[in-house]
Amino acid sequence: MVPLKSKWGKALRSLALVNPKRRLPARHEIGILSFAVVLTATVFYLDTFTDIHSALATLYVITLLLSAETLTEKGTLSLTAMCIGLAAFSYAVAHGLQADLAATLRLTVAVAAMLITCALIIRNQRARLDLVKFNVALQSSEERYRTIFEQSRVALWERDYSQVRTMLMALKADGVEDLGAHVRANPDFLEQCITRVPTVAANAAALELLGNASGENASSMRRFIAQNDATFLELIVAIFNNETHFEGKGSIITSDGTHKHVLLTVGFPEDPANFNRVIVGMFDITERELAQKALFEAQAELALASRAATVGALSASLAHELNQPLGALVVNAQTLLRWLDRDPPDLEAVARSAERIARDSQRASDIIQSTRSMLGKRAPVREPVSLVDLVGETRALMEGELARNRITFETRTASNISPVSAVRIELQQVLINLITNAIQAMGETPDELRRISVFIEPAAAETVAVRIHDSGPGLSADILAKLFKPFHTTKDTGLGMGLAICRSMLEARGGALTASNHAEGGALFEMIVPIEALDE
Amino acid sequence: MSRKPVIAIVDDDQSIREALDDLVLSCGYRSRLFSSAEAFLADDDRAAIDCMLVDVKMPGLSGIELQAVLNSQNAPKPPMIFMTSYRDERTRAAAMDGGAFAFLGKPVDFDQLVRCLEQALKH
Repeated sequence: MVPLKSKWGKALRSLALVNPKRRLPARHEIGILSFAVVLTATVFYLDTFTDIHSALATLYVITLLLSAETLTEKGTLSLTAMCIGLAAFSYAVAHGLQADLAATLRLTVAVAAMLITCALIIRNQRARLDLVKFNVALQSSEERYRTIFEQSRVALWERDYSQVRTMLMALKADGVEDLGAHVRANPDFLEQCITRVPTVAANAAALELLGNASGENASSMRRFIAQNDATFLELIVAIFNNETHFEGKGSIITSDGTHKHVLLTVGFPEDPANFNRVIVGMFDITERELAQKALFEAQAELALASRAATVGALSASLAHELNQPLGALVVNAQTLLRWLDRDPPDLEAVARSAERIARDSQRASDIIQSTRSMLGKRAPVREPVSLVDLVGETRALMEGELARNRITFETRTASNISPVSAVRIELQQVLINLITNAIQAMGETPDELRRISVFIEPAAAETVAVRIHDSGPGLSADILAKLFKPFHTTKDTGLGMGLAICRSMLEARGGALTASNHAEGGALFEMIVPIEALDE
Repeated sequence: MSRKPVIAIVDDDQSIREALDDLVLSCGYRSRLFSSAEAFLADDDRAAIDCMLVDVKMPGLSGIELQAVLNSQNAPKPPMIFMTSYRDERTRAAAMDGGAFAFLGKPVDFDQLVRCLEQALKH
């Protein structure tokens, strides 16, 4: 072999004999190759010109092995051919045509050794090439992933959920089936979980979302997750149930204290071992949520205003229409008494008065009837309404009010709630009214005891019951008696129409609204909503 | 009194008219019914009328406008008792300024109305 001087090197490279991606430094390589050349020459000399009875040619194998790193597949094949040629030449020179069985066997062994070595070297090289190719593909895939992760405008985190998963699986092994119930019984559990989710990495958008938090600050999400945020519980329930994906809405508090609504998406890895790097995505939907909330509020206000306006206009018009027949009735009745008081009573005149009284009463009744039927003509828009969703939406709508009054709000839902066919805005109006009343009823209740519990359950005769229980002082017998009367109010600014309207709205659709005191204290309002609303 | 006093009732509502008619009758007076201020003004025999019961709010001429028309005519005017569902002070003041005998709210207080009629007729 020749040392890789530039001329030779170039020539060999152009023949594609030399591996362009060698791993050894050039000086080191030249040393090895020089040794290989010297070794080959020595073996050739000894094999050709001495009479040592051994398979010296086998030592060419060392040459092959030494140059394996440097040569390509083609180079190795050529070198093998050359070594076999040298061995054959030496054999011919030393033994000529006199067939010496031992010498021939030695040659054969040497040739076989060289061929096998050659084959092994080539196989090894191919395997290595495959590995290198695979590594390159893996690297570029990793690079692509990094680019997506870093450059994405969606806030992304890599979080280590492995500890939490281990905790959850341990719970499962202990026989816990309902994680929600377990968390309710062990309020600290959620906290423990949150602190055991270290952040592995966060992209620029993620740090920006948290209010340009530095990487260190963001290492634990503890301080960013809003208190009472139910989303984290839902997330760990998803892990607990071995779900592959989680999506939910949550709220976070950025480093400057602003609340943001985020859409949270988490894809869980199939292999539990990969839970140490779970990708969590967050999308800031604060503005969308605020717009939606404003829309809801505007709708609710509009509904209330239009109802109040309707009630106002209606009562004014009714008062006006009824005034005439009622006025006539009073006069007729008094006149009738005068006819009776005469001596003798003028019974003919009494009969005339009585007839007019009957006629005017009928007229008053007709006015009321026609007003009702006029109202009935406005066909209400009914749609299927999920009471569970409606309660959730109403809660979201009133979140500010609830938070301001530091009220814990919980919803318990039976599993088999059918959607009801109803006028959505009417039901929402009733809910808003009842929740607002509950909030106001707890004004004097200590903060830590303020709680509104909403229970949604199927009730008798194809209805759904929504019960709203507060932890306020409850309703006195006096209030209970007058609660649903129009114009009864405990508020300085109230019209006192709220509960009266709520009850009449529900009753018009075949439902009901009742109030009582809960056995454990506090007021309990019960809405009964028929699954199929009645026609008026 | 040699003859029964005659009370004119001016009201657009038939029920009220008839009720007042009977009331007047039960008091021992006679009545004449008019369904509008215009009908009253068109009547030729107004001189025989001793007192008027007038609704304030009527289609066409209102009670107050009727009063103004009568005040502008050079003829004796019987005492006018106004009745209204709308108890606003401005209308009341306008009626009293125009020389109304009384201004009563509707539904009318029966005894008050009877007393009022008696006093007006003594005038």
